[in-house]
Amino acid sequence: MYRKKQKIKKNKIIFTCVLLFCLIIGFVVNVLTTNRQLTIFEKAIKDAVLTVQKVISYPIDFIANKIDENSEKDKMYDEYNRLKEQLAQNEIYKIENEELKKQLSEMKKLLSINDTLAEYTYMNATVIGRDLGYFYDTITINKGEHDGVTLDMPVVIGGKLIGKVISTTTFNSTVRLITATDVVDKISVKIKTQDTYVYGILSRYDATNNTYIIEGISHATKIENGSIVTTTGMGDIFPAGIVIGKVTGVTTDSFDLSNVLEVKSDVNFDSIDFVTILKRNI
Amino acid sequence: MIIFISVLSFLLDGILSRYILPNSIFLPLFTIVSLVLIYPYFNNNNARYFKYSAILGLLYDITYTNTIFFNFFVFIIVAFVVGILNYLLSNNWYVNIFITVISICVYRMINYLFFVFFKNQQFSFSVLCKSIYSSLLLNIIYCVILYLLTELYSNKKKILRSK
Repeated sequence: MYRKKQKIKKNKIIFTCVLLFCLIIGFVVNVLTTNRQLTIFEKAIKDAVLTVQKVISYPIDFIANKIDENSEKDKMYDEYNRLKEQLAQNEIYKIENEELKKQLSEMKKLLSINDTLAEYTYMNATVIGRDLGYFYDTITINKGEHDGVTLDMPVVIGGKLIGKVISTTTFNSTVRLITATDVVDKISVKIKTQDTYVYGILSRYDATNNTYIIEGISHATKIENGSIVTTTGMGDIFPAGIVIGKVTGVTTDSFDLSNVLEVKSDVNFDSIDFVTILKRNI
Repeated sequence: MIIFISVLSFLLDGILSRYILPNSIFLPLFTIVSLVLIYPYFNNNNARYFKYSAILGLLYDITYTNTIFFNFFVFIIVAFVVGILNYLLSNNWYVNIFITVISICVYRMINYLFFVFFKNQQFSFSVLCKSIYSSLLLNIIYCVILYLLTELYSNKKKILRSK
């Protein structure tokens, strides 16, 4: 009788442990796979810790900037001459740009269009933290809700797309890089061929070759290496005209029905210090 | 001493991530190292140690990884491993290095398994190996330095800790 009771007790403990383990796994999986928003409590803790970090790293930044400044001084004269030459060319571009803007606004009036897919405003930010978890592919930037940052805003470097805002606190935001192997939001892209654009979908990032993969291109379409890939503006997140990279290889899918393109970006994802957040106008 | 080690390690993790490139072989995981170093100061009070590790994991979740209750559970598992190894082995600097290496391996492996099996991400086994070996060097150095400093200070101030 005693042994039977002991056995039942042991079985109950094992059953409870297994149930608890399954519940924990289920809960963690749910947390990891859903796009959860931060609570006020989490936002406050994150902001507080990051502020303390900023204060502590201020002297380190100061010294690092001074060292950078000194090393930059040597190159300054050459840079000055190069920029002087560029400035002369910029005047021509400026006049051309003004003329094009004028024409565009006139055409918009004519067609009764208020905004286009390519219109956005800029906001610069500094990277204050990188991915510590290794598998997350995120960076933390020093602009948050206070500065007008909202979820899903695209983030670029030198006009090239690098990711989107996935969470915001009052003074900081987290950006998920498009090098993340699970690009949940498939990005609509267009590839410039000789005269026209070919449309496709950016499906994933190949970490082995450091290239993006574009699928859904017709087999009949001829695409050359070096063609520029930009966003189409279709979908809710990314505005039109943001450069993603250049085509470096064209292959076919496993059924030999459509082309698969390899696209390489010249952004160095290992060394991101400053980024630009784009705020879409429509 | 417990709070000093864990707060210092926790903040250094975030600060250093700004200056160390993600592809380098000096990736910081100082908060995990702190779990190894603080264990003797709990004087075999494992329940308190696990609770403390869970809180540290939760803070890590909120501040660095944008998750909730993921590192909370992972830190408890790492703390459990640290507890067992400390029970089996005596506490000295080379055993601390050994436990640090095991803890980093456990932490990275759990992360890897979750991402591969539950988030369906395509990480090859070499990515896991790289994530482990690139985290070892800096954390071992940090472990040795902090162990020696805390040992000196504890001896001087006669702070009680399990051997």
